[in-house]
Amino acid sequence: MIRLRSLRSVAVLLLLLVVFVGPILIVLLNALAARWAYPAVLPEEWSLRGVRFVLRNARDLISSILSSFMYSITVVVLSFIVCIAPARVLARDRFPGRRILEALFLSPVLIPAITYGMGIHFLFIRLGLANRTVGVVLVLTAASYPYMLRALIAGFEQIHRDYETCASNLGAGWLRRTMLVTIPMLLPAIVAGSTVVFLVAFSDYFLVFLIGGGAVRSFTGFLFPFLSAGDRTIGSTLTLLFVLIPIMLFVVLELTVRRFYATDSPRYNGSDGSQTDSSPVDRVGPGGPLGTAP
Amino acid sequence: MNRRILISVLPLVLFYGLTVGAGLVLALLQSLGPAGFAADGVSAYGELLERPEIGRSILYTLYIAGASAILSVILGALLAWTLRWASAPVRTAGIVFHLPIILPHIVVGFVVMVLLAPTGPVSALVARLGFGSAVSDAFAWMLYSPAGIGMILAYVYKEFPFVTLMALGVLRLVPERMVVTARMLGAGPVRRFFAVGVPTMRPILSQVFIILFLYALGGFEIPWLLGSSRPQMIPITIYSLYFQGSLEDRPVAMAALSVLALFSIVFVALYAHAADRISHRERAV
Repeated sequence: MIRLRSLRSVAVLLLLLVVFVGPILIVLLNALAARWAYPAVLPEEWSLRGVRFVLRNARDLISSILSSFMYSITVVVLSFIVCIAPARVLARDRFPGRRILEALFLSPVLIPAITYGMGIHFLFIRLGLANRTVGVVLVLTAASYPYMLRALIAGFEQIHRDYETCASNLGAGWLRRTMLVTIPMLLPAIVAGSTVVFLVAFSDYFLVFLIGGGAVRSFTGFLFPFLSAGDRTIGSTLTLLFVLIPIMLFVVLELTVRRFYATDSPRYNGSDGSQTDSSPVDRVGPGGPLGTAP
Repeated sequence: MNRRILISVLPLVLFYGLTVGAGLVLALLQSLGPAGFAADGVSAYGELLERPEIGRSILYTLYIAGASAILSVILGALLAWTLRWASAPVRTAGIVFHLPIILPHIVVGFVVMVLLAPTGPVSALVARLGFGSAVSDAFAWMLYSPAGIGMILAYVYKEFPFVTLMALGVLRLVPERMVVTARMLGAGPVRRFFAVGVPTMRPILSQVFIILFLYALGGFEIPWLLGSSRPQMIPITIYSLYFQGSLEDRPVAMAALSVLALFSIVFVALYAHAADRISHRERAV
């Protein structure tokens, strides 16, 4: 019995590695291959052409990564600003039309981005926002704020109103209450929402390409011609670079969030104490991005 | 609605109206006439029916989106169920399944392109293992072909870990004793999956299915990289009609876009309605 179980474990482990690590390894091999002609299972000659390309174009590359980074951070901040007040009301108040309003607000996740994106493009040309970073930030916020909203609603639902009342009774004004009570308690939700919004904005190609029109630099825009042109060496090298950025972000956040929870409520650990699963993406909401309760 | 609530939601209502709302309305307006909004009735919608390539494109998109969403849900549910009851080291290693979730679509598309190329490593490996030319010839039509295997695979690879993530959130609430009881009552692994796992995961799986299906319906990046030139996925058809076609093509493109938007909205509404009814019935039982 035990042998069978461990045999199964090994099989599952192998499968996981093949499915999730295998493709990355093949991309790595491609990045370092000089010649990898058809029947060969492994590259026949190696070269650092990809690495040299990255170094030679470091300036372009860094400026497009920075541009992506800056507009993505702006999208996170703007999402937070437009979502924080509505999230509080949607989580705490019961009023007619609340469910419809919530469904409407969450709808950009479900309606394909192209359906409103092309109309927005038309509008932004008239308004002079097309081909500008402002336009890109606005359209990316429209496509990704629901993740922030969902996370903040879930966050507010877990904080009892009494904490704020208590602070208020003790004489704290609005600012102190917000800074010392609400925001710290909401922090996990803010981190969760921000992570997803950042990832969506940072990895988007289509909306940036449509609204930015090539004038707004982006990492995805830099990457795309190499991916579609079929230069596997350079495409693979850039892909590896692209893979690293979200992973780094994810690891940093995971560590920060885990530290936060280590001193806080134990309820975020799995019911059987397995798999400490406070990964930011998990907490966008147990109900899923879709607002309707199962 | 009192004033405080109104003031709280107003900024988001305005933002939504000026971006998503305005975008949808402008697509609709442009579909009703040439770019100057001189509405000459519904001719663009009639045109949709008269162009067979648009009809084919719609059917093809439904096939690709449906196939990739169904496969993602099945694979994702299986992985979630496996990881939930796996031993601790496997669960820890299982964290690697998050990887595709954080990868951008264009990167996943590229990885699939590299892997499945007719002269790619998988094809070479298959040939080496001696499956014969019939199998390795199959790689010639995996990418860019009407079968759309490359696109389906890219969507599945990108999305099934997301299904696992969502399903694990629900499965964590299933106590181990439930499965132990099922086993003591003589249920084998397959029976346990269908009797305990599937009912628990069903609500979240159907929600995720909607998200994935609609995403693949309107997704641009993966068809742009991996799609066939004929038939095309509907977002590509719309995009090229609008930007590369003549001025008369624009209302037609916007008509197709409006139909796509309407379809998604109706689909979500119907689904929400059905989900409500099912959960009521289950509560009644």
